Amino acid sequence: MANQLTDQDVLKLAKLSRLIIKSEELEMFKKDINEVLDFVSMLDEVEVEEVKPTNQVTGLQNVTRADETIDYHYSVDLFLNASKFDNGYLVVPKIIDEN
Amino acid sequence: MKWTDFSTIEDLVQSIKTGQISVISIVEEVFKRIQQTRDFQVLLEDFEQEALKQAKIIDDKVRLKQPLGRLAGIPFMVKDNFLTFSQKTTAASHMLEKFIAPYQATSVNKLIGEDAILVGKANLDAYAHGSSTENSDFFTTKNPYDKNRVPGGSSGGSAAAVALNLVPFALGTDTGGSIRLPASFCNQVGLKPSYGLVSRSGVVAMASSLDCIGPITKNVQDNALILDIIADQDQLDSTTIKRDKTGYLIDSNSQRMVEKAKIGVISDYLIDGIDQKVKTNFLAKVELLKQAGFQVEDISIPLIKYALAVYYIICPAEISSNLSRYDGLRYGYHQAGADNIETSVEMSRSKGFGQEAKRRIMIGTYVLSSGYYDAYYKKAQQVRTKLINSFTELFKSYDFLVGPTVPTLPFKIGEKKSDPVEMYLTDVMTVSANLVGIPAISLPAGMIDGLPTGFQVMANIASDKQLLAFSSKIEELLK
Repeated sequence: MANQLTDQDVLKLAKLSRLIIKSEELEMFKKDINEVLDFVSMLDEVEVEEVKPTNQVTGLQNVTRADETIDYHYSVDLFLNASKFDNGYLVVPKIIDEN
Repeated sequence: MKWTDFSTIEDLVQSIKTGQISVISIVEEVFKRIQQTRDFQVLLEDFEQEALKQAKIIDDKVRLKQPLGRLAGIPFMVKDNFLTFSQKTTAASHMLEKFIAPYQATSVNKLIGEDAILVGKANLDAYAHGSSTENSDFFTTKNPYDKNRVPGGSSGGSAAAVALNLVPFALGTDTGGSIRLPASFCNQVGLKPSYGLVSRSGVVAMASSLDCIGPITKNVQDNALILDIIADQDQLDSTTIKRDKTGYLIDSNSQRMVEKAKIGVISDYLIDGIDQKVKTNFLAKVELLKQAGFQVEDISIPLIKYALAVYYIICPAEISSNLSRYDGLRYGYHQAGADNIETSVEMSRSKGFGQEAKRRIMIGTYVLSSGYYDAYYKKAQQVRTKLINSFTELFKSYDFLVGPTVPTLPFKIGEKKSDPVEMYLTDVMTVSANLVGIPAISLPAGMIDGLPTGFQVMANIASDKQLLAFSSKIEELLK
């Protein structure tokens, strides 16, 4: 643990996160992320062999309910929050390149 | 008589129901106070017209002797990460600056169902990422006791609203201390219930295995009343747990249960990184508990020093996952001008998210990425298991564990803003309760140099009722 991320690593991370980092922000993010990774590296000291990971604390499993339709009258409001919509459809920029 | 003269919400409701005080006069007083305290920058939205209309309806019901809810005419606020139907819900982020909620949080429905009146929405750190409200994309709320200092966060607006007597209670969210910390910094009672006790439906998600919803109030009795109303299983949140059959109100029965409570003082919190004045004050309060006849012993949880590191892996991991839904297309900030979908998403996210959200998304993406997953994320989940086991073991011998809520007094605005790790350390005493899922409360513990400090009590999972009963027994003692 506690690898130091390089500029390239941070840019790759930004890409994976669907974020664009400005060149003047790069140094700051690199420093901050490295400091946090350095801080959490203290976990190296803890022995965890055979310990089961915890995903959730309730112990609830397979919580289900009857598969019934519930009327929802505000579909229009959902569309009002969208960037662009037309006739009950969400309009998005093109996904498949013509070539 | 003004509503602020009543010592509990229950008393105020009684006077409303018997027509001794009109709801209109209460709501007018609320908005007068909101105007007088604008400098503190507590609210993101307020709803004066709607609230006055609601007040009139309830006054009419009183006159016509119609049935009224348990919170008839009580004004309240919620942190602006609670969805309130057809109103703005920004989470204090540019991303959701124009977002109009198409449905309403279950907890808000329950309060309004009891005739409480929503008067406004309180400031927070954007997406609840922070400990001071300085990460709000709009403005920083000021501490009611010192305008140069932070109110704590991320539910800083909610805590300041109660402290400034704008409302008798407000809801907040607590992922790593975000209710207890501002409650401590603003001298109020703040409860993080057991994980799953209050539905998360309709609350902007931060870290889903840690997020809890709870009340910030002036006293423990009010806190128990609000919890009693909002705690319930919910079909819209499959992680909700069963409520206590006897409810959460404080009664002679529950008080008797905690009379001989055995208390463990978490000594690990008193070693380093704590302000000496906070420590001295805390130990003086522990002495008072001993004098009151409680059995008090020092305990140690060696793993607790790793809790914050576990938190700062699991929390960003879950944040990066939850915030991946923001594509700028279905809702949220949209940056026009991209000619393909990938660029469109990237441009919208880069403009819509603030620095702290970006930082946490990237850390989360890193610890979840192939090659680092086992070393960071899985490791943190394993240490989380060990931490849970430590607490479970302790609760076999102790009813409650106590410590300070925050290691410092309210800090100055700007003091920690440039150093994320320094800011994260503010949560060092609160994150464990979230990782373990147990209920924890911050109680006012007197003033140091004119600034508030908090006393934290934790109880075993699903022992929220006992926690509140014990808290009500000791709250006067601690003040």
